[in-house]
Amino acid sequence: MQQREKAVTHSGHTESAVAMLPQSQQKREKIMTHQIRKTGTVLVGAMALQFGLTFGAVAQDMTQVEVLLPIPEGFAFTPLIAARELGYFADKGIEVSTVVADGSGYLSQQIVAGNSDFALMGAADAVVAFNRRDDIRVLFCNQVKNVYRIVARADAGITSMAGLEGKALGYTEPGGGESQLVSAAISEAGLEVNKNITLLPIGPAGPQSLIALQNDTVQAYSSSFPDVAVLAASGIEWVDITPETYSNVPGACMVTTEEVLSSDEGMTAATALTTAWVEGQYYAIENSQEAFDLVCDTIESACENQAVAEAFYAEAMNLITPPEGQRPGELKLSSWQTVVDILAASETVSADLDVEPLISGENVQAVINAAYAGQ
Amino acid sequence: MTHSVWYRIGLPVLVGVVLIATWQIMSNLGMINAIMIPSPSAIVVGFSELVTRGYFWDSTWVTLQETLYGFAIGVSLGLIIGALTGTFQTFRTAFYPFVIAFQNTPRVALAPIFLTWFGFGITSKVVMASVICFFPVVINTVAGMSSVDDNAKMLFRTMGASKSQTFFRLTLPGASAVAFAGVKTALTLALLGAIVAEFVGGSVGLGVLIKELNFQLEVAKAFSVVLFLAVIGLVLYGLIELLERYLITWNRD
Repeated sequence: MQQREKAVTHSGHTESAVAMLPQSQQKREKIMTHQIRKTGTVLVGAMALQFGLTFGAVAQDMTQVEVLLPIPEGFAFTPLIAARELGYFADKGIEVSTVVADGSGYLSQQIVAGNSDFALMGAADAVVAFNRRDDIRVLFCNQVKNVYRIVARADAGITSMAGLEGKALGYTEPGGGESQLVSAAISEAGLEVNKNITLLPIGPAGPQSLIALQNDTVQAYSSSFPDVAVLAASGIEWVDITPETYSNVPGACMVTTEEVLSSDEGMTAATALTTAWVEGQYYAIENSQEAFDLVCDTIESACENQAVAEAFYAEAMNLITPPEGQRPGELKLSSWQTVVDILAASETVSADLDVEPLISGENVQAVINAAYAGQ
Repeated sequence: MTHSVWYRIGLPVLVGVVLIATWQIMSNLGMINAIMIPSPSAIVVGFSELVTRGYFWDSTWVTLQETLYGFAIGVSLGLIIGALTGTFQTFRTAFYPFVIAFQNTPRVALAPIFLTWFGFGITSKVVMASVICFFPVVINTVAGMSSVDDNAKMLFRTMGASKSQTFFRLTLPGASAVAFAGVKTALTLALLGAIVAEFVGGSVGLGVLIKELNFQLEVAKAFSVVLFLAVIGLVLYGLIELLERYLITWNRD
């Protein structure tokens, strides 16, 4: 009885219970308590230090502007890199940071939801977003020509879309950026998927798509220009069979909203962003080699394979350089109408969608006027 | 003793050398498509070039951060939820079925959803890593707590120990070995989660680097990064093993 009373006293009863456990369990309990306390203290301290270093805020003098991109920075965004590295953004009082999403679809969601002020998205996604939210606005385009291609292997004997009858056309993935173009082009050529043409997802440029083309799994391919250029640099000879009708479709364009442009802060950011980006475009067009070297210095990984890098850059600059009589990045209503036609072919938007408000309006015009004022 | 060391270390090394030599010979003879499977020598050369690049180590650091943060969060939550589930019957009845259900959901399919919810920065990668490593920890913690000797529990009850005392002095030490097995698995899963999230939507990290190298058809370098990830996984696993030996000394072979 005395022993039991002793055992149940507040401070002592657990100790007594532990004392009655087998030796191994006693040892286990004692060691574990000590080790956990010691280790836990060290780990918590290390984590706290790391969090502090990573997320420690530094006072910024400039306005922070975040731009969403559909693909990682590289040659496709040479004007952006030039504007940042040469100080064009800083001169306008802004510091531009980019967040890379996986394709324009996500960017469209973020803009429509109002989670982001600026996004560089494909023209088709911009029109789809505009169809959902009518105050979406486009300020300029990074590429003024179609970034998507439909190309056939030169040795396949295909010289037009009609030549794809009975053949297989590879594309990146379901819902990829080229899917609207492919859909419209197939329809225009009088073909029907799974009846007289096979569509096969073979991914972007890489070993899997290269093998699919080399072993004749597919005879043609549709994707964005980087993928086409990289595969060409790897030895695939192409014949471009993209319908001429679609050649003037804009590439990636800077999208924002009237809500952003209506505020002084938003308008200032939009004007600074557009002006500096257009300056970057002019620089890249007029100083091609220097711009190439600048991108390689800034993003070393983009130039890991020199031949691929040069092919990619040449094509990127081809799409950024406007045709005669057009300014870099300039918006043209006829191009956007073509985008509507492509989307209407797959019934994504109505054929009579009035797309003019997307690229016009007092605020958009004010930004554009400011951007080209010094050029 | 010498024979034992030869058997345990020498034999797998010998097998590895034979496999790699065969692979290299087949590559040299053109029996293997270099685009599909680059030769071992090309992989070594590729890796030796990559390690001189600053962006390689930047990418490594980003992926390590995502892995370790995700691991810390996933394991912490897993241990807490596991402990609550193992201790309170009501909690177990209410929440454990959901844990089991989510355990069987292919969590990598959640990566695009996490990107939408948490953005394309490091947060979504950390969340992915933590979610993917959470479940083994919970399951193993519950299993470990269930394996504690019932007689010992009864002894503690008999001696008037409170629930918290029983938990900290008996259940926790008793469950630790099994729970730690879940923690060890969790670390490699955290690395997997970070890489998957980077594949789906990242701008920096070893997963992004693999995509970029594949895009440029630098297949040997891409392969070398994959092998480097395997080495990282092994090193992290080894560190956890060391930690286990330090914490759970009674469980040594």
